[in-house]
Amino acid sequence: MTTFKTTRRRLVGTSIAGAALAGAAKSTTFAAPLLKMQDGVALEVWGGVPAENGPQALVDAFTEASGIKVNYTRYVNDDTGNTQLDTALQGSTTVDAFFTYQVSRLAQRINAGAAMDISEKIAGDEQISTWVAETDGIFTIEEGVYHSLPTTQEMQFMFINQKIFADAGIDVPTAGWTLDDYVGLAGELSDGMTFGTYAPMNTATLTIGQNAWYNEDGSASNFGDPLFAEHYGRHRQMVDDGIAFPWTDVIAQNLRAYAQTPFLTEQVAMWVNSPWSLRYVNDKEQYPHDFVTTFAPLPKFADGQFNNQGINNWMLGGASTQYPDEVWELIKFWLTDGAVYMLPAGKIPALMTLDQATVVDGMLGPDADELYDKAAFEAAAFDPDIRYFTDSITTGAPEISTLLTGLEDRLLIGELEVDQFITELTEGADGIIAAAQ
Amino acid sequence: MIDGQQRTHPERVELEQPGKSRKRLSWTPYLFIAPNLLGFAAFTLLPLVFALVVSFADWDVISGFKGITWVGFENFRDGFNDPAFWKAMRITAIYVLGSIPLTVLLGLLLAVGLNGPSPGRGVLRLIFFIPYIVNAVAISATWILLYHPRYGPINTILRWIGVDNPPLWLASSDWALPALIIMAIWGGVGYNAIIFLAALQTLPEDLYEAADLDGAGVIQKFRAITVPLLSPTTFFLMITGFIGSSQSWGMINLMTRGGPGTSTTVASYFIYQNAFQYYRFGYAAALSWIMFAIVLVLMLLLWVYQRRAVFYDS
Repeated sequence: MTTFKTTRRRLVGTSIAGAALAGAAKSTTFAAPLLKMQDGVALEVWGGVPAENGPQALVDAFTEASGIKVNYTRYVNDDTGNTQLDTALQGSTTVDAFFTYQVSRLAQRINAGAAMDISEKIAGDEQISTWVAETDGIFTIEEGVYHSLPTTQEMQFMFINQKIFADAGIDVPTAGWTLDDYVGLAGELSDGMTFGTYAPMNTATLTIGQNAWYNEDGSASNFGDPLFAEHYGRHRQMVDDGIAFPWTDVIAQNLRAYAQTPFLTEQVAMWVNSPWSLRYVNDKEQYPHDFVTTFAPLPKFADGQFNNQGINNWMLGGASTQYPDEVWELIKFWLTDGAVYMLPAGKIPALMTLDQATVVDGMLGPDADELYDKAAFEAAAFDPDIRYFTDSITTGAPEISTLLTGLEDRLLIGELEVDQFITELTEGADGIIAAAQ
Repeated sequence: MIDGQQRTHPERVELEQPGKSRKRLSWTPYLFIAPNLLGFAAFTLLPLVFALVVSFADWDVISGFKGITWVGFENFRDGFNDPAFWKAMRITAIYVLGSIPLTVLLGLLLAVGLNGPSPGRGVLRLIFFIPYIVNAVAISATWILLYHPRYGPINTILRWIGVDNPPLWLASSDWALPALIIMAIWGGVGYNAIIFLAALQTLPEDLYEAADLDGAGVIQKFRAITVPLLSPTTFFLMITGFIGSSQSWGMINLMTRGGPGTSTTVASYFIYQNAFQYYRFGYAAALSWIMFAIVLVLMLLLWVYQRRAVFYDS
């Protein structure tokens, strides 16, 4: 079993609402002669975001500010793309810094010794060390030993088609709305052609937060928790009632990976998703649409409930880099001054050195007035109830994910009932965990 | 090689062995085939050998070679005892047996149909061959639309002719595999037909003329002359089809990702999952070798059978 300790300090630094720092980004000052690099040598950085969506502008700005050249290589964040990166990390190609987007892969790479220890670097930088100390969910395999830093907050909120609501004469929901309101609205907005919602948020994982799939010591699965039966039962019922998007269509059209299509073709009124999906709304050529996208925070579904969300886009230095100082400068830049260049890719900085207005303008793009309700976006994305976590147990996580996806599909197309689904999921996941231990 | 040419080659090597006639060895032919051999060694032979070596180890790639742990035959034992693997093998067998014989049969009928003089024959041949050359992603996207449970043309037609609850195709554990089999047949018929067409051109006319004189009908001639004389081609298409189909992965990855549930998780997709999703490369390699052994045995059995069933003209 692979178990990791994740710090559980209360988040202060990452909450934009809490930290809403006024003023523009603080300029990074580069240590004068840090250039051990020879002329013509460039840092090799691998990331999953297409270069043109922000990373290229970021590394260009970094080069201009520091004199350190950087080559950014985009790898596709899928199975084969990750294997490509892992092969490169083993020495087939130089990788000085890289990004990881799944905690299980993060754990695997750090455990395999593929990442540089940046603990001392963090300790030596007041701004970063303060942020790390105040931030919940920063991943470590051992208390106080750091190999990665998150660059992005990935909260979920509701994307809403304003036109469908207006045509139905229904007010767009605002903060404080409840789960019952959500299900009720989905019903009111569904007419057989349009569906009230794509799929409900996973109230089980949002409620439980860290390590939701596992029991406390990670020795077995946690799918027997009634919260899971409740969530999947609700989703199945909404599909059966015709108020959530038909799962047969999701499977038949392979929409798991392209869920933006039903929303942007006005087949669904409400869509739970994360800021990175804004890039589809911004893309008027690929997804032409004539409605305004407005937003709402996730509905409340329990007393005292808060929305447990993730931080992501973990940046790591390659263990075999010959330029650890330069890599650290790049990591710092990515977290601070460089973050502004990643806004068009829908990346809300994990370390907020930008003011909220800059973030909003950068993320919603030049056509914001035409495409979005900006005020609603601010209220939804900067929900003060959001708290962050990162899983610390990843035993058999990829296998469990495959099992869950397969069974979820069968549940939602009516081939399994909820109790069968929970039984098969629990037995399967327990078997996977036992085999991996 | 022409003698005159050999004499002019400076790199010619002459070997003389006691008791044997003089042999002349020229490196030139080897240089010609060297690129192919090097490519084969680098991209086929080495990976095969490496896969065999890794099948006796636990290896996750990310840990590098230092992360290899030798486990002997454990991966093979686990593979033989893994019900998920055997389920995947069963699905593979259904997929292969459901698609290849029908593909070959339809290919043969199509070839015979397109062999005689008919208007637009060339265009028809091209149309039937198109699925073989079109990009797999385009084919997948098209079939995803065709199979759409609510709006797809197939179900629209089925409803129109009175089928109240047409299949959900890719969105059903019962129908996803048949849907893939239909696609595989559609994609393979044209290629089979072209190979059969080429073979049909080589059949001796005199046999058909003799049969005509004996008063044989079209079906009799097809059964007694065409089918036996085409049996080497049929055998070739069956054996390459079985091998190719048992390795199917691309369409499944593009269209169903092994689902719903595990209903289309064929062995090669299961192996892919173990390697590239779960990073169990040693186990995946062992499964590959188990699968190779099974396919090899089946092909050898087919080979033995063909000695009796296949008619070689020469």
